[in-house]
Amino acid sequence: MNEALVAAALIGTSRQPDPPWATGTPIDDLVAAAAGQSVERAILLAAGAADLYRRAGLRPSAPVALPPVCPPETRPELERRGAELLADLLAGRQPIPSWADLAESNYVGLSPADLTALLPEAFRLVAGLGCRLPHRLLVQALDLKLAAARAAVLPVLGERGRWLARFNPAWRWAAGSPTGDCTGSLDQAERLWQEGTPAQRAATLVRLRASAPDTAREWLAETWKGEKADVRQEFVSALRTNLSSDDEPFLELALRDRSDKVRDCAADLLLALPASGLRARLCTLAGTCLAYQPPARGLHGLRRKLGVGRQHGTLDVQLPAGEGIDWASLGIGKPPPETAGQGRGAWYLSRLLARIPPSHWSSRFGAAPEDLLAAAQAGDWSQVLVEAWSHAAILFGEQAWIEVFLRRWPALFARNAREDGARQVACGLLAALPPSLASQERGRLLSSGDTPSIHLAVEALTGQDAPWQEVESRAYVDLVGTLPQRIPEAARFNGDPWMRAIQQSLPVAACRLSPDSLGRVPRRWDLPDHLRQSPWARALAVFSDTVNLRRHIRRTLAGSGDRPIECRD
Amino acid sequence: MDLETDRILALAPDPSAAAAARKLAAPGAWSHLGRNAAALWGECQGSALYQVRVDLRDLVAKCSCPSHKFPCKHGLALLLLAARQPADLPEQEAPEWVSTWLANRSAKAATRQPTPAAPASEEQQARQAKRAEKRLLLVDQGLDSLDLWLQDLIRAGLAGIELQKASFWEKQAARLVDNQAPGLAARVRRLALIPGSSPHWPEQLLRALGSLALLIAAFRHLDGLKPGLRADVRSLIGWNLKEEEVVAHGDLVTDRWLALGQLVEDDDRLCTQRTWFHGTRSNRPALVLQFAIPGGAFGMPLVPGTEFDATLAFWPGSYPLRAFIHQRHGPTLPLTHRPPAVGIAAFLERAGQALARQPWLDRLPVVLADVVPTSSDGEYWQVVGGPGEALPLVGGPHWPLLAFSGGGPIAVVGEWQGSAILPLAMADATTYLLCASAS
Repeated sequence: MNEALVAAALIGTSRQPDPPWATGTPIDDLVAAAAGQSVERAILLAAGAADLYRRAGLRPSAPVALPPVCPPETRPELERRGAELLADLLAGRQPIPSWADLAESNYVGLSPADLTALLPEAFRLVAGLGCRLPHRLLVQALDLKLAAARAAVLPVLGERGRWLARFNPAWRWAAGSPTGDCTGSLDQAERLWQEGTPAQRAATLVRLRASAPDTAREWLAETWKGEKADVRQEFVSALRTNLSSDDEPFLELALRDRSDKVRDCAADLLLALPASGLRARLCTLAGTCLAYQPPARGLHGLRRKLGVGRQHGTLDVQLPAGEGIDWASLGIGKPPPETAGQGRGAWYLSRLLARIPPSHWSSRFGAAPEDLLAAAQAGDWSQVLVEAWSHAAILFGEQAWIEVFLRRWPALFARNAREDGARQVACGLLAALPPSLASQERGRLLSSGDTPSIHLAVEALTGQDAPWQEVESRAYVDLVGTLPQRIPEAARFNGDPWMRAIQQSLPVAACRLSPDSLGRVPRRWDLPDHLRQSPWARALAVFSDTVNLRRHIRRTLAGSGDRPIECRD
Repeated sequence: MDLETDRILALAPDPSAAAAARKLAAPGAWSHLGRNAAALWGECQGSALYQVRVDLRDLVAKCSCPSHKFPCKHGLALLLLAARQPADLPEQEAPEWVSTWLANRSAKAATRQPTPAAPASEEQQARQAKRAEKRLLLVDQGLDSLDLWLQDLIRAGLAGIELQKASFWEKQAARLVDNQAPGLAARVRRLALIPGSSPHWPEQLLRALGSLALLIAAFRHLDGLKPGLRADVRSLIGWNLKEEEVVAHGDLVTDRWLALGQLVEDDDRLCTQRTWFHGTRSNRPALVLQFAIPGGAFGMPLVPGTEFDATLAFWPGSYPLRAFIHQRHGPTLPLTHRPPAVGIAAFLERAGQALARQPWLDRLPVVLADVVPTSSDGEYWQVVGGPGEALPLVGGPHWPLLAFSGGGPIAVVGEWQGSAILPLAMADATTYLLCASAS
């Protein structure tokens, strides 16, 4: 609009009488005729008319840049029923129970969080069909926040989804490889290393370690002294990728760092090198602390065979002296100030043993893990030895030792720690096993009938992210099936800790149980009277309905059963 | 009946009714389900046994449950059931409680037909004329005071007006209400939102004030205007027509009407729902306005993305747009026809012609063909037609448009708001997809 007109209106005719309002168009004559003597009215009419003329003669705007055209899809689109189901789950709405299995459920109503937790499985099923999401679901799919859902949706976003993700910074996670960083040349990596943010630099370092570990370490050594402590820690951790004995001199340097976090990190990496000087130094020192006497042969041996007298060897323990040893070169810091005397020695011993692979002792003393543990338990330093060795078994992932620990759980820890402390260690032991073995162990514990073992297995299962395997899923479902009979009247509201653990695990279990075990879950519960009004009633109903919904999802998206699914081109 | 779930649930008066309907849409809860060409029915077991029926012409449901919601969850559930599991509703003769209801509805609709009002007696006519004269006088006075107020604004200058309290605008609006010019009062209330709202507010405010001044000037020359424009000016100032007056004075257009899109505007006192239609044979646009108190339902259900045969009655005017659904002639169907689409330049040409006929026209439906939605930064959005040809979009971010287009040309359906488009739907050869914000 005419700037003079706006200026005149802003200033006001009381301050600027008779401002120029003419537009220089035929409007002026019309306005003059309609406004009478009032200059104010003339300004208003001229403004109104000029605006009307402008709107009536509006020209198209100048275009901004066009997006590149999305490449054609290579996978067919998921058909309508499957798409509607996914649309409901994405929106956190309970799908409409059109099929018998949902109509027969408890129908308690699942929360949006219960529903979105089922998305990863649904996306994997769509991927299994070789389909992709319809375009109209892409915005919601890209807005997903949970890492598990994001990972599962990536393969079914299709060309359109990956294309779309490039336009919104919040969707960068789905836009494919972040171009320019990862596939970039060495020059680009060096530029990022020198000019990037700490996070970019750390990522660059990790990537470079994958292709050129020596170069990465040399870059790091050049700038090492100038970096901040938390940055140094992150950079040292980057060396874990492609770690080799070539890194040892640098890590020995980092073991003397000012920051204890950097020192811990460097020690962890040196320990991961089988032939590192640190390992050797630790073993030498620890060798002066432990001595093993096998059970006697001869007459004593005979008595042993008969099951009388001493069954095990003995472990002699010499606590290391606190002074006169260069603990820093071993990656071990200072004990907390309140420990003194023997306590200091015990503290150093536990740190020392926790950093040595337990198999070192089996081979050094020529004794099986069971025998060494039995000897340790019989001695005065039982607690220190058992805890340090269990930590070492976890750190070095030594299967033989872990199995022995788990077989003798919880007796092994019962004397030493509170039950939840012992359970925490045992969870760590389970997690350090190869996955299939861990599943079998958890299944065994669940079916053991022993409540501390059940409690342990339930806690271990809920503490891990992976879908559950068949063996542990079956054991869990069978256990839950016996609950209504096992829970006495007195415990209906506030049961033992292990019962509470099971109750809390039900929502997680409903999402993670293996597909083949779902058929064993009752569609609804016929509970004894005393449980009908208890928290168990709702917890079990939600559990079953979540499983019912999973069955529905699997049937709709898996193509098996009565309604074969097809993808649409 | 093949409406999509979303479209049915859009009829729900509130989210809890929609959620409840989803739960009930399982065959287990129902007995005696059935349908014929005119209706759906069934009995639903709730706290008692409820008889539920739906008139397929306008999707109006009637249920014997005590709920005050309209439609209630049972009616919605019956529609969902019919859409998703049609086999569960066998074709058959309607039971008596359904056929009676249908007959009653048809009879009621017939009585709503304009029966030529009995000619008013002379005394009545005289009273009416006197009332009209009195109102004219009041409005005249109101316009005088508004004219003075506008001139005072310009005399004092607009600088600093953003510091005025809300009462400054409200007082003038209230005076116009007292003078029976509610249309002008609403315009004055809207002025209060402009100062300080953007860097260009002085220019925007001056435009709005200028438009008001033009309206006053037009009213002063009412007798010199063509009849259509005269009706527009009267309606803009606040003379409302009753539906029977609309039928008597406006166009009646029988056509297949496509419900292109819908949006709801929420203000503290009133929710306004705008549904845009296109007539396939008459090639006319239409706007159906519905009002509700916040949280209430909008009366007759209108589902965007559907089409039906009906007679629409248009408010008289120089560019008739506003209409109401006078008579329905068939069931509500999913949208299969497509509205004709034009290029950007052709649309602007048409919008200019519409303004030439009705200078205060602030909204028009628009269907653009072969445009590419794009954004430079995720905030400023455009549709681009040919080279050098684009129009801005409002109400973004419009990621769904981008997802639908894939960088290629699509049809965009929207509401033209004078300088930008509010998208309501998108379409290609096979799909008609409503924008989430507008469904």
